[in-house]
Amino acid sequence: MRRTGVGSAVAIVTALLLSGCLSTGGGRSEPAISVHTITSSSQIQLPLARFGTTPADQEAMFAAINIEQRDCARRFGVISTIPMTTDQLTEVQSDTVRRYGVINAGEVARYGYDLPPSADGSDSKSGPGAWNPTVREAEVLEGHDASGQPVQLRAADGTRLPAGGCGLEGTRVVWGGKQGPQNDILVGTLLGDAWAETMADSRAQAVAAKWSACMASHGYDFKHRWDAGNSVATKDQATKIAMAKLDLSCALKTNYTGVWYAVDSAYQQRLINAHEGELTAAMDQYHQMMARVHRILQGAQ
Amino acid sequence: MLLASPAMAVSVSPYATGNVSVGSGTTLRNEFRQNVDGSGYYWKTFGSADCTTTTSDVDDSWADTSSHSGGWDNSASWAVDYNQCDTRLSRYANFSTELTSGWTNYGSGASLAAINDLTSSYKLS
Repeated sequence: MRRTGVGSAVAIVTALLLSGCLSTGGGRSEPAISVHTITSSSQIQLPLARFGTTPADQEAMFAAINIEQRDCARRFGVISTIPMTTDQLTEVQSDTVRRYGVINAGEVARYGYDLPPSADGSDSKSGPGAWNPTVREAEVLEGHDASGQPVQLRAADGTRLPAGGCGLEGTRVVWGGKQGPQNDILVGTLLGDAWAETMADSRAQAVAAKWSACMASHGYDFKHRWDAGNSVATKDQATKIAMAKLDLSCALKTNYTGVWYAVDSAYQQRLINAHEGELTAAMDQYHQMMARVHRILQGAQ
Repeated sequence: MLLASPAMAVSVSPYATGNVSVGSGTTLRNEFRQNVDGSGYYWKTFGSADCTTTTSDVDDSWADTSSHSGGWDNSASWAVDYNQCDTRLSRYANFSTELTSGWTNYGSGASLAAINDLTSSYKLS
């Protein structure tokens, strides 16, 4: 990848500290930011991440749900083969890697705007672990027949098959009710709110203008970084990879990702402060669910 | 809600206004993103388990993405399906005018290519 003087300058970790809040004149205050050079998604730790389900907890939760799904199916006379969901990115993981566009140079050179196979949900129905239930098992686990009509089944003790079948019932047992912990939903909502604030921020817009100028020097007229990827949506993969590499090189030269990450993080922290009560309540629900998860897993041993 | 015949002009509104999660359960079945590079707001569908190997049944569907308060009609440019699910995308609400022939496995981070910003309903199986 070609490097310029600007690129070399941002290769050195720099910090831009702005104290206090900036007023943009429209009554909108912009929080102070601390900018560092970002060249890898592994450097991104979103402030809201501490309120999201962790990868380890998510794996444990899926294991407990699977136990409860199979227990439920057994009550309806079915030995279930339903697989445990595995390797699913958490709410935070899935919203970190591409939050500001492509960032990992090695992946971009090979895959362009596509996700690498390790993160793309590669999931052929003929692959190992694919779930191929009998008609009866599918009805018990899903609660409906192949046409989508609810099935009316009763266990030996007369209990009706719950709505959504044993698949959803297993989830409800782990949740402790009809609704799960709200931490990931709240995190997702606030990540969206922070994104809206970031797009409107003067510092984010200033570095976007620098990125646009860099792209213009290569003959492209893009206002937003995502315009580059969208412009090649219908093109062949070689064209997409070439655009992704140029897009990233301009992002690195301008430290686009570093600035957007700093701005985004500042707004996330502001949102955390504003929603402290909701986040605390959601985390209480989350911890209660995880206690239930561990009791289920211990009981299964 | 957009109910259009193919001959009608499409009301394009590629600017989603927030993240959206739909469905019941914790297993992620699909994800749309606003932009081809994966940035922007997301639309996620959750279910109670992995999809089955058969596509003779529909595990999840959403008949009209504009009915959700996220501005998601015609906003998806990037799609991935997860956990053994395959996808059928439609240009209009109520699964009218499918954008691909049959079920497609978007398990390779596929951008939506020629159907950029043209999805108004979808099915997962």
